[in-house]
Amino acid sequence: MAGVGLAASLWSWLRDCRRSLGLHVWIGLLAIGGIGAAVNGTTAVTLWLQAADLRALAAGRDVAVEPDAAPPLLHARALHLLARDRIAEAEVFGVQLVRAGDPDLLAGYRFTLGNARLRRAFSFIEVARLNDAIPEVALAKTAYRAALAADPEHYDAKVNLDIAMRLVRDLPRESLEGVGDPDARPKKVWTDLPGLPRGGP
Amino acid sequence: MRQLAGLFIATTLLAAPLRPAAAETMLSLSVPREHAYWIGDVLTHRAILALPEGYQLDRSTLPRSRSVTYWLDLKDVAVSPVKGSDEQALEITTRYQTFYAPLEPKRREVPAYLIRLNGPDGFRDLEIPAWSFVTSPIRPILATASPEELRPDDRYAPIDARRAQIATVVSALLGLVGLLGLAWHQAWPPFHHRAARPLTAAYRQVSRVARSGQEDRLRLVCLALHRGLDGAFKRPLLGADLDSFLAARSEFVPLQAPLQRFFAISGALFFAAPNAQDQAASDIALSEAPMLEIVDLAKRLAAVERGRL
Repeated sequence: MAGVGLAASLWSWLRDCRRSLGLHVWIGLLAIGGIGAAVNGTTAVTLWLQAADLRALAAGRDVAVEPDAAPPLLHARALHLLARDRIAEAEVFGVQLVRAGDPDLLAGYRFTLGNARLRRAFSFIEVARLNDAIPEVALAKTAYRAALAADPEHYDAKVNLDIAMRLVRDLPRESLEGVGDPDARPKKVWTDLPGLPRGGP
Repeated sequence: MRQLAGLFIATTLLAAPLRPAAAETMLSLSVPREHAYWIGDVLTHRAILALPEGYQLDRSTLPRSRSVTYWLDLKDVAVSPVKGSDEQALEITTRYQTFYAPLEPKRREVPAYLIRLNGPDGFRDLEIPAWSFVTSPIRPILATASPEELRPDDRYAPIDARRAQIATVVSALLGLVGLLGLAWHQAWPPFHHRAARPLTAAYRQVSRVARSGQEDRLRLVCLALHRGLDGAFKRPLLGADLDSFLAARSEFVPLQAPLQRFFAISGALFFAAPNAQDQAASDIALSEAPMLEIVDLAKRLAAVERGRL
């Protein structure tokens, strides 16, 4: 019975506001459309500006990117810098990408970081500076592993990690492997650094 | 991806003679497939543990996600209760990622780990056994390592603004429709000059009535057209006023003859002498010709009113 009463009151209310219904409908439509156009228009303009910056970076022109920019833009700037062997500058954007938390972009960045490290290692190998090349290869391997951790299906990272592995193979650390669970290994209290402390009497 | 190894290990944990059945922990393992793994692949291993009454898994003894060996990472460990089982059963899911770069297909072993179960009479240790898989190389063994061999850098991720653009256009159209509707509803410009269309309304009514099979539809048709003409003249239009009407609305001059004919028919129908009225009415009502004439006139009047003729 309450439903019938409610329906009746709703009907009378509808009949009362039928006169002004058109006014309300049109004003509502106008308001929704106006607000939607403003919000979406702002987004569209922002994205359009970002896309222009991204195209410039892809075309090889360097564009400054704020650290709090959109993830694709951070990724693009990092790629741009890495392709030009400016690894230290690019790593700033890598930190921001980790914070942004897009696994695909992060995997792509790590993979490209590994490529940049490996290219640097190859340039050291060409001039026979093997002692400088080995840490670069190790860093490249770390970057590729991080890329694969973010995206296990990243086949380019698999191939390039394999290349890096052929350059400097991962080898078990004889003194540590075989003890068992790495958690149970004794901590190294003394460092491996050679030499005696300076100073003193 | 995985196959149930069907490996059931009934581990006798408690040799208490009073509760022999409840003393056993059933461990069933779901080991990932054995072959065809590449560097960077993820292997999911599941151990399903049916706990004896009163026993609980000590979660602090579960392996932590870490680098297990130099070539193997333990990505994550998850424990979830098994649904649909009578006993208290747990599923321990461990996801490993291999980073072994083999030169030939090679079997690697994932080490065992120990977990601890706490029960009413002390704790028991349980070993989740080691398992192995075969990992394969992805490049030929004689392939050189050179910069040319490297796969190229990641592609630039495009920024797609299309959705925002479409949403903007749709919202703007919606707002425009709202604005036009409001202007129309409030008779704001450009809708402030919109005049009534009495003859169009009359034509619609005439054609509707003419199609209906009513007995006195000729009278109704005539009345409807009269109301339309009254509306167009802005006061009642009689046959005598026709000239002043045509002088005021010169666009109707081409229809002067049919209008006069209409007033003649209407006059005969409504204002003839009582005895003659029956005669005239039956004459007119019997023939379909006046009806067609009036409908045609109403159609042409409506067309002129809307500027189509």
